[in-house]
Amino acid sequence: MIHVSDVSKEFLLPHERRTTFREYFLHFFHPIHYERFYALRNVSFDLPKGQWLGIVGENGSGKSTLLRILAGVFTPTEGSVQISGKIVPLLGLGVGFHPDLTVCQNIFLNGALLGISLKKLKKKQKDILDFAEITLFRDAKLKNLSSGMIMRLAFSIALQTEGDIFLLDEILAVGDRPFQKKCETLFRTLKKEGKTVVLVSHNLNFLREWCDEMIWLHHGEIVAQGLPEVVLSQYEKK
Amino acid sequence: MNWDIWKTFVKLDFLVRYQHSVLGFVWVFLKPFLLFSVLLVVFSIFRQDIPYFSLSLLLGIILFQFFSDATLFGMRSILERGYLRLQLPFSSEISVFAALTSAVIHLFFALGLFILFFLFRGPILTFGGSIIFIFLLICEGLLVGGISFFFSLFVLRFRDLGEIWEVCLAALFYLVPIFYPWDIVPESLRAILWWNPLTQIIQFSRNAILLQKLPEWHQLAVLFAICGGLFLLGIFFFRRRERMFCEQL
Repeated sequence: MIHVSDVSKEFLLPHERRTTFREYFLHFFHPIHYERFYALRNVSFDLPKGQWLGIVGENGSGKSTLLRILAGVFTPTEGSVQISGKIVPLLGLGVGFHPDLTVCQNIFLNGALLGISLKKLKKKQKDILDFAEITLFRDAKLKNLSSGMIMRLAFSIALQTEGDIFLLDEILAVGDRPFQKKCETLFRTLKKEGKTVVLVSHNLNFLREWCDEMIWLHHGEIVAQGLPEVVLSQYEKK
Repeated sequence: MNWDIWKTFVKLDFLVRYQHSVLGFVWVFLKPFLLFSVLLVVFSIFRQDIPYFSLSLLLGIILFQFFSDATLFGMRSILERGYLRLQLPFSSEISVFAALTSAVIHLFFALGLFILFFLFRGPILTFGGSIIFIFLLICEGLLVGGISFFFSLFVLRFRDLGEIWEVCLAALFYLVPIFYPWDIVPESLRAILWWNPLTQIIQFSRNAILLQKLPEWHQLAVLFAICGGLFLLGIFFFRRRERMFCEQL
């Protein structure tokens, strides 16, 4: 269950970056001018348990910021968020991946950061590698894999996370058609298990098929909210 | 406080730090030992003035190295984990504690080396001496903790703090009696230099372990107050200002 009430998020963007002592001294009498940038304005919505919410919008419309607020990475400048349940924030693929470490080391690193228990990672290590189709590369350094392999690995690890609420920030465009089909079977399990999902995606067909409710964000404000067909028809018209 | 993330950060630090070095983990022992060897030869003129000169020198180096490592790792901890903080919700405090933990682990290994030397060349270790030494280590831990909490946030605003602190550490190495005896310090300067908690920690440690000379209660109380106070100030400052500084990442 997610309850978002009148959330706004403001960022102060400095016009100059003063990052050293010397710069501070030299420009002591010149105040820095900041740009007040509202990434989100008065966003409110409710998402009951087990429902899937899709968020669409142009680049820069505040989608990722909203997800980060839900994840607890940012705190709202105004408004409040109430969430009950364990949140799994998949705000980027392969968080913590280190190119100089091997695939296996990265599985444990990324898995630990995502909250997957060590026991489970050890047990599912082979499954993770098989699902990502990179079993042969288990001891290769991550930097030697193609970006597609890395994304599939990241996705494969992410599928082992456990929680009640999943926040997915544009992580669906991974892999070829057969791989995507594999992922779909897992999404079906998530739906069946009654998990709550909030996802940001540009894949409108996916959103149409899987979401129960949608939000269209434009310049930080909700301009459309409701059933996928309704929101998407408006969004596609623009 | 997420224990798993803390553990992961410490492991990650060791993996990355020693993955590519030829000597790998041996470097943890080698670094203090090499410095010790060089200083032992260069400053052996002080041999007569300091009892148990080699052990005294090694202990001083190890305690100073811990101070240096902990403050440098601690200061950079938030910057290094910044990219993770933008995708995962965890308190930045964990980054700092993990960095301090790495430094403590380095300290324990170096102390292991010291114990080896001590068993061959040192006097008998008294129970009182060991307790005092443990207390002094805790004081040093609090001291570096406090400094790290302040620095880890300041360095976000002033990125050259790292270089500045490295120069300060280089100077500090000479202001603390590591390779010279405390008696050489002129009376006029003693009062000022004694205020440095690191000087107190190193001197008390040497006296306690090598000379069986234990410090007075009130001296320990003052030291604990300074170190504990700095730690509390550091952590309060950190908790209040964390968000303000971190959004500048």
